[in-house]
Amino acid sequence: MAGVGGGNDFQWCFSQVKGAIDEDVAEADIISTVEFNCSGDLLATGDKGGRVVIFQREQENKSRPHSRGEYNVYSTFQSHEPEFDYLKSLEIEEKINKIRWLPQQNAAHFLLSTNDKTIKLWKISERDKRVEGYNLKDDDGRLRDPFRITSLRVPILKPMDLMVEASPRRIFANAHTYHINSISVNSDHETYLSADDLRINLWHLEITDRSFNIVDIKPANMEELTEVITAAEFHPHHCNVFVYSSSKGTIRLCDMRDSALCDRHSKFFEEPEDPSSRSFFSEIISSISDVKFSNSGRYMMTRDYLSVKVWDLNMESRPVETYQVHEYLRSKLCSLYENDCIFDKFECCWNGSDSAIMTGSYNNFFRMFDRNTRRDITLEASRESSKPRAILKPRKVCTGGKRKKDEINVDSLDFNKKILHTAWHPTDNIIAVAATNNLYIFQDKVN
Amino acid sequence: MLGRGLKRKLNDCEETMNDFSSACDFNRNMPYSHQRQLVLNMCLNKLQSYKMLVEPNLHRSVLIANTVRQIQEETRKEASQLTGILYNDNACSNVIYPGNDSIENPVNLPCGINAVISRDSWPFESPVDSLMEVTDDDMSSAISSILKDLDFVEDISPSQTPASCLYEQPKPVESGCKVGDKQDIKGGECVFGSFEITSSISYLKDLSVDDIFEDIDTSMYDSDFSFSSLISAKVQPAEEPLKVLSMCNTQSNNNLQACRTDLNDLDHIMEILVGS
Repeated sequence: MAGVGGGNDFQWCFSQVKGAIDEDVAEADIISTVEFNCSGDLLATGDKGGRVVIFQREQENKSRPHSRGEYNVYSTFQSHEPEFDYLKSLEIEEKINKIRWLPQQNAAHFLLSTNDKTIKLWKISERDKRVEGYNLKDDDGRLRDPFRITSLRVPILKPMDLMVEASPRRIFANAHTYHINSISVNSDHETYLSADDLRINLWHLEITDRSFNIVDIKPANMEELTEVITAAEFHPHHCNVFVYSSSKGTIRLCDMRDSALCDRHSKFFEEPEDPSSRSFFSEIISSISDVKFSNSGRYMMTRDYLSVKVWDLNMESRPVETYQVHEYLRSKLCSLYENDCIFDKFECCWNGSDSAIMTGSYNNFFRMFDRNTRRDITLEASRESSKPRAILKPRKVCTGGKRKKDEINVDSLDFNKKILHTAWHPTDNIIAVAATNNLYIFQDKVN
Repeated sequence: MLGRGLKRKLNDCEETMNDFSSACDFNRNMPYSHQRQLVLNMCLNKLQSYKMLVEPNLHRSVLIANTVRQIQEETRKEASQLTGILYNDNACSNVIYPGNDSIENPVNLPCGINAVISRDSWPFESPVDSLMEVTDDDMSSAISSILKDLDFVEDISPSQTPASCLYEQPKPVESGCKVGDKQDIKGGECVFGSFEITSSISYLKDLSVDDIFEDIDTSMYDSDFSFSSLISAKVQPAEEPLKVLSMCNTQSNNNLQACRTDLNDLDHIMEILVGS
């Protein structure tokens, strides 16, 4: 199926790379989130500089078959600006933590973008005509005296170059004391949730001046705090169900029909710890950095530091599948703790049919797992292999002393090059991979 | 006005972490206790460097604090086991400390261990406490050698150590003060022997895990006051395990050099703290 196994069906090949080639990366240009819209025709990225860049898929062109499905810049806008919290004397970063598209309802597109504190609803609309022929103003722009207007002129629409406008429609502010880590649009298309380290709020998309607190794990005494919320998401079909993951490696599923404040979960997913692999860093590496429901709604996937787990919503005791992402790092945890990499928040995503999953690693490597064949593959997002239609070679990391050809040793991995954010097209085999300030797009090549 | 290019960077704290870079990735020969000490040092360093960051990351702080707690719990268990051994083997089960009913126990070695246990009542221990616990428990081999020595020191008549005099501690009896005597016998080469250093421990107290959250939750400021008052009440026991530490240092030959570097790191941490 998804080319994970390599060879049988298709291979991944390079399609495009976006972003500067410059070695010297500006902090503001680092991509902090990637998200396809519901049709997959638009792809949005957010960066640490508070900007949102939207790419649009070009229509297939029969004269240029190679340009099939390329993405080009559609709109760029400044979503968030740096701010200062005067009460706390804290700077509020403009970094875009998450982007979520709303299901499309008319010609315009809507998305939610959030930084640490404030969520914004943006409308992205096209304009390719302008209105001409008013006689209410003078040539210099001043309003004319109504008595001097003697004729009735009907303005006419004239075609013009396509213009894409992004306008902020709603600003949802002042509801989060801690850092927002997740936003998720509900399947009712009317509400969404936003989660920070200790609380989850429920919003109506039209109402900005109030939200409902649906989860609050803040202890009365902050000294007793041992656990934080790391991610949260609504069920794709049941608008009353959502999950949130914690820094202790557990996932709680809540049903909003139970009570207004979902302090008591309906389901609690936790895998017993393996005592043999216990270390000082056991808790840190079990902290869940991302949780995603499958498109079917039957499963959910969680990413912790070293692995990806697939859970059946009907079984809380253990995951149905566990995939090792970079098990070779287990012996390196101390240095990864020392250089803070252990706190990196890797995300994960499903393909359109839920048959494959993808997540990132270090050294600009990313991993894919085929759930049916249990095969996995490591690929690299690099400029070297970025010739048009170049097939991505599987990469391999070796741990022992002997290094085979084309293998890379654990010790020579570059931990500054990390792939935290990836996205899979909702229906096609197109993936977007954020590697620092570059966005790579890969597609399948059917053999 | 905040320019977009002016962002908070981790560089500053990364530099301070370089001190430990040589020690990372445990080699298999490294004793477990040493590894633990190393991790603890890193935790403390990270927690401290947090204060310099403009915007603390709660998730990271909680994970680091939990790591400290885990190490603390481990050493506490070890310590209680050790106490069991101590009291059974040496049959000094009913040590009497006149005029002293609880934690503020001046007796050196057993006190160090004792305090570890009784501090269970302490709601949320500072990493410093655990640091001290680790440093004394850490060198379990050293402690066991002290325990061996206890047979010998029990014959010596009890007397007060100079440090406990300073604090006008109730007169210690039994084994602990004998260990203190032993410290004197061993000479003044104890790293933490000097008063200035012991007093600077109170700065280390600033590192307490709850303080990390202080910046995040303003309601903490109230409890913080009571906390600092509690700290001042605990200054006395705080210094004691450090003496044990220095004891261990002088006593265990095999760990001597390693301990020294640990203590240098500690010194370094304290310098940072005093400077901040």
